Amino acid sequence: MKETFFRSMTWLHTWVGLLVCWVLLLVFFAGTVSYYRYEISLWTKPEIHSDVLQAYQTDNLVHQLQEGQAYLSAHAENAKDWRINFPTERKPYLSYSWQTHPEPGERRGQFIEHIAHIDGQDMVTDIRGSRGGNFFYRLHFDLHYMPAKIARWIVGFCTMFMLLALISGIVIHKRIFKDFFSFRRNKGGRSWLDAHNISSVLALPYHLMITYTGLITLMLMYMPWGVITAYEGDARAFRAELKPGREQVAASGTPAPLIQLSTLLPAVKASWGNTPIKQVVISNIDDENSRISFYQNTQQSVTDLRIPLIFSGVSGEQLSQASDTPSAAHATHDTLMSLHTARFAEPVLRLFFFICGFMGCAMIATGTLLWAVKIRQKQQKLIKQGNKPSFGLRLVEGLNLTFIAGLPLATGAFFYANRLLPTQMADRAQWEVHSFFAVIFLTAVLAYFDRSLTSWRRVLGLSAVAFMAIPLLNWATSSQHLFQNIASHQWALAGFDLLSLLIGIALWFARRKLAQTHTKSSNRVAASASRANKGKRVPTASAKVASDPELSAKEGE
Amino acid sequence: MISNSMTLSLLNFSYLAFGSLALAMFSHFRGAFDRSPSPAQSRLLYWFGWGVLAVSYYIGILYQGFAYGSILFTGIISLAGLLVILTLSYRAHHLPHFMAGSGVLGTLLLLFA
Repeated sequence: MKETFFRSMTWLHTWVGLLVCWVLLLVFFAGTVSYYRYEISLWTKPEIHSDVLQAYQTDNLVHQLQEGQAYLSAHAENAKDWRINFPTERKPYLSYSWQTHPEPGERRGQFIEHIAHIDGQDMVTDIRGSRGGNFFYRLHFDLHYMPAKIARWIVGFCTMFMLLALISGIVIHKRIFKDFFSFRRNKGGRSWLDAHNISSVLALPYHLMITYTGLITLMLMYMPWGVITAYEGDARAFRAELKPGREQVAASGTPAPLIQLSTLLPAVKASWGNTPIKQVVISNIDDENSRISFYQNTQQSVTDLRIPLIFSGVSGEQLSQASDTPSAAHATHDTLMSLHTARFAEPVLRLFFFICGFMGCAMIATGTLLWAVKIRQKQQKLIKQGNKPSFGLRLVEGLNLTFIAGLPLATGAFFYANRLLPTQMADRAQWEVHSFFAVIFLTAVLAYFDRSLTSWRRVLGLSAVAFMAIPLLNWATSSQHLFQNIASHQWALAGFDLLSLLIGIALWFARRKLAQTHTKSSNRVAASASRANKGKRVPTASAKVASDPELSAKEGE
Repeated sequence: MISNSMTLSLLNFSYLAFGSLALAMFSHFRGAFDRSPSPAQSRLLYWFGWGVLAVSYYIGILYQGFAYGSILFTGIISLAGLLVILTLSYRAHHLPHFMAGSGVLGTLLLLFA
């Protein structure tokens, strides 16, 4: 261990941060993108972009419920359950969906969703296979190509490291208030440190919150012993007590007709007033034990609880009360969970969450870039003598290129795959995901051979063009283009295109910035042309360092 | 439903507040005005910044409730801080002008929200 507290904290911050930063970047990036999970899902289903999107209509509920019940009993007679999903702000369409009984050997049955047209005539049934925003949501904690359980342990481990890095970072940042507003441009390593500090400190409340609550989301998996002891190993009993509404009642086997769903609306209204209903779930259909659960749209309340109103499907008797207040511990847990998922956030707050998440990505990226810059400075002499940079440095620089520049490009590839792969392709949804990872892999291959600024420029330039062209892609492959979406107030779809355009422009600026640095540093290389360094490889780090005042002064002359 | 002009108003006030807090610091004051602040000026800017920040938080809570208002305000100040830093890095001399503008705009938005 190092001799002083401060130095050991610095050591901890550096190594804890560096060890997991690329997985963390992936997780943070996926999480940030997931704030627009439903918006992305909507964009990835161009089949429903016209004649489908509608707002919630209180007056039309009776009719919609009756239609839904009739449709489901005609099309999904033998389903495990039925769901009627009313339009919400983020999923602005009416849909009837059901889950089939699992085939032998399957854990879950197939999930089928049919979406209603505005005019109530026929349904949209042939929607392309795509995981849409759910891919990023799952990637955030389940990663991919591995069992979810292992992935969650990896993510949890990395999150714990992140919490350590955050706290040790606060401890070692002596000038946290003095340097609060300081960003010194074009100062090589200093600038990276400033950028790291700014992205960390400004969004620090967010970073601490999201990391801590991230651990909370899976706390019972990471630390199950309390529950095991209290419930003597019976996890099911714990869950039943925690969420009585979720308790599954087994079918009795005695057939009994289902009542009309719409007859329950007055009882729902008596409990909830005019609060919009989000979903109606019918389980054990046409059985004596059938259950009808109404879920409300919790809108802007800071909660993740889904407390249903449950009715018997045969008698219509109300089986649960609306006013079950959760215990203090339960409420605390719920608040922390909802802070993490931000389901309550309306568009403006959602944008702030997105910006903060983006700053988190910037914090991780600048941290590892800073490490590479510093180490390269240390090895500068050796490298100039013609030695190769150390393995650690090459590895870090390679991973930096792969993940920092590769992730936006891979995301772009995912959207292009969504629109360009044939709609009837087998395993289509999976191939969209494969294209995401294929691009990361290709970037890694590029990084293996060439980690110079030229590579960075190429990858960033490609992503910039890809993102700037997304509105065009949407125009070419969907029935509604950007201006139509703006005209018809479809802000989720229009916002997707506009945000992509903005991200593309930002990436283009990043590329241009690198190009400027590049010319500056080649000038310097040309000046010292007799050196062993042939200028073929302009290394990331020293190029950054090279953009010093001396050179700018020279250019000014 | 949240009113966007209210949020924008709070963003403007937070910008004003963070700008004042930045100008209360010796180096940033020099960067903006090319002269040193007097200790009284520094102190005034410092307390003015904190005051505006506190008032905007209070307004945020008033109109969005404690839970939602606090979360929204945290997001707003993160963005406002970032904007102040960008101004200081690229247009330091214009920071006082932008602050004056954001003060006026924030008040107008608040009045007509």
